[in-house]
Amino acid sequence: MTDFFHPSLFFVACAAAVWVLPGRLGRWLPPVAAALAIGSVLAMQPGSYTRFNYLGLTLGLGRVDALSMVFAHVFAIQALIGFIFALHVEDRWQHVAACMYIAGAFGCTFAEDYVTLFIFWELMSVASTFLVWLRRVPASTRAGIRYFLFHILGGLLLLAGLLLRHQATGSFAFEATDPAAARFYDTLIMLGFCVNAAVIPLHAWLPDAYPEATVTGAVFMSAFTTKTAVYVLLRAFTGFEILGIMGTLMTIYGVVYATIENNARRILAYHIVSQVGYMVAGVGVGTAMTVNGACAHAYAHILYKGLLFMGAGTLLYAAGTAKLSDLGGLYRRLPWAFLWYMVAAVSISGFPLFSGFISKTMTITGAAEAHHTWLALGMEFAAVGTFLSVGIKLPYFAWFGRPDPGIALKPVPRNMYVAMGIAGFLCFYIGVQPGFLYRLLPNPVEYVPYTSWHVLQSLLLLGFTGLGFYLLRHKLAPEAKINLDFDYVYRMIGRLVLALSRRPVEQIDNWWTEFYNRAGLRGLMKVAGGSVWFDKSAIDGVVDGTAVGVRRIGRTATGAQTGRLQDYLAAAILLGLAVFALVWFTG
Amino acid sequence: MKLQETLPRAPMSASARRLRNLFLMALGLLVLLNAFIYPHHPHFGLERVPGFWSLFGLAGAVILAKGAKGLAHTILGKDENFYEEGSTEEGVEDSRGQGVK
Repeated sequence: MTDFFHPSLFFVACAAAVWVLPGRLGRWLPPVAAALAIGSVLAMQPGSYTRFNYLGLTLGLGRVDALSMVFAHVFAIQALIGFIFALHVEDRWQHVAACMYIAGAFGCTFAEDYVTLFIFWELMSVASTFLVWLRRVPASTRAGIRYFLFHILGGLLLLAGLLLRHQATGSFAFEATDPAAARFYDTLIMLGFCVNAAVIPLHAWLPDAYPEATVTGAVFMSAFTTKTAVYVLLRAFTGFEILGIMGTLMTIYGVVYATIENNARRILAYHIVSQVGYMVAGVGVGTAMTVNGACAHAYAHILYKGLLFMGAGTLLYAAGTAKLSDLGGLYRRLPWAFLWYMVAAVSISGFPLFSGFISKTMTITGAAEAHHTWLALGMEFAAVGTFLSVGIKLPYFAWFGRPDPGIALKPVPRNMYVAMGIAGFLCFYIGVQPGFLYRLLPNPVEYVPYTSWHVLQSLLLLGFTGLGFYLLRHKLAPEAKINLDFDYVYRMIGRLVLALSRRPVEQIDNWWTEFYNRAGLRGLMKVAGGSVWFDKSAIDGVVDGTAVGVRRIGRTATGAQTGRLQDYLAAAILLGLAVFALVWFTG
Repeated sequence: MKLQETLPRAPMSASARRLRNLFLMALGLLVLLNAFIYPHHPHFGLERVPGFWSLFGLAGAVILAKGAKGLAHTILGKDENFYEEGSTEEGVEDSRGQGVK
């Protein structure tokens, strides 16, 4: 027991404390919880801890091995960076939501069985939905509902898969699946995971919702949801060839959209799809080297993607918009944000000396060495697109491009720069000291990133991508438009259901009104007239005061019914958690 | 088109021209180096050809830019209010978490 203290406990306790403590004090707690989580991760020894027997099931909350350690390591670091970035936020609910979200991510990482995994999986999707809603603008409310409904779908796929699997095998064990012996229920579980990993065409929730999240919430969301999904895919579905192909398609799909998007945070969201594609491809190819590559890339990606979202979030925070068509020439006025953004941009592009170089090339080389030449070439093509859109296009139009349009800038809190500085330093440190990261990986590392050929190849690729942008820079100017994606499908399904259900409901309503007008009303009026007289003269005299009491109860009940879907969902989830806790502790 | 209006093509300043020439020279140097530094175990035949990856990068960038913009201008690009009015209006929560819109 002494070797393992579950990091989720820090965050759950922190969420409870932030809830009750006064705001100013509460804000300082999440970074402390994150620091404690880093400590507990560093102190962990491999093994299986915290096992429960419940209703005849053995639930394991603490599987610590090389694979869960590397993800827990970076989750803890990113939690600290994210909470420092969010230190100025006075809205306590944002901190509570972020804490519960991270608690869910750690819970998934250490889960030993599918039941435990499912509980924490759902906790993540609920808590992250609040990170979208708490931006409290109409667009984010709508995007949050779509996000939540889509994740319910993913959760149901996972639930169906794990129950069917239990029926067939009698086990909830969360272990590797043999690709040759995969059954229907394994496919369901994999689809559930793929929803969270944003595998196309199940990815549209991500670029739909992340740009609508709060400035700080997007930083958290960019780190945990998709990377937890990569972790569970690595755990259960390494070597499934379909993932190799889908992952490579994701890398390309993401950069195509990123090239034409206008909203800076949506560009970055599409780059999550693209970058997670490298990891999913690594899982799919499934050799020791690509599994290492997927882990290393997840680690590096969490840090630089968080930093990119911090940079774009700073733009949004200061300028009030993240649309490239409204920005330009801001490098003089936000020099530090610009600097840290560029560190992240060269990291994601895979420039030598920065973190992407030592992780991305590992997956690509691994795929090539496993004779998946086409996958490797696809990923190289996506690397070109990454540098083109996030490395050059976004900074060119946000920070340079047009002359400064003279937007009034809100002062940026200092803690945001501190967080960006820490993340930027780590991106550089991992780039020059790859051993720091390679030591954490689950398989022994034979790959040497810094050979003269690897460096030259990267420089050739990126240099000539730069030339391509230079030649086409006028063609790539951002336009104030949105682009269709697969969310079109589910938005239209929603409208269709609404339209279809509206017709019959309206029809029944019309019939009823008609019937009521003709038959009911006249008779009813007569009865009512009589009863009013009876009520006034007889009853109220006898039971005086009850009417007042009933009205008061009615008012309380109306107070609970706000008519807002998110309130109902929150209440339902709270109720569910309470029931769950009761059963858990008494059962 | 609209792009030319928003981005007036000013004549290049002397320093910008110098920067561009430096950039092009650096690219040339990289290709030259490629003649001497090459992979000892190429993953496919073309990788041994000097300048392959530079061509790949340039062609990739051009294909991606032209292709993606082409898609955006034909089937993918829609008006900002396509789904609902004001759906891309930006509102920033202030530090107390109160949305402004």
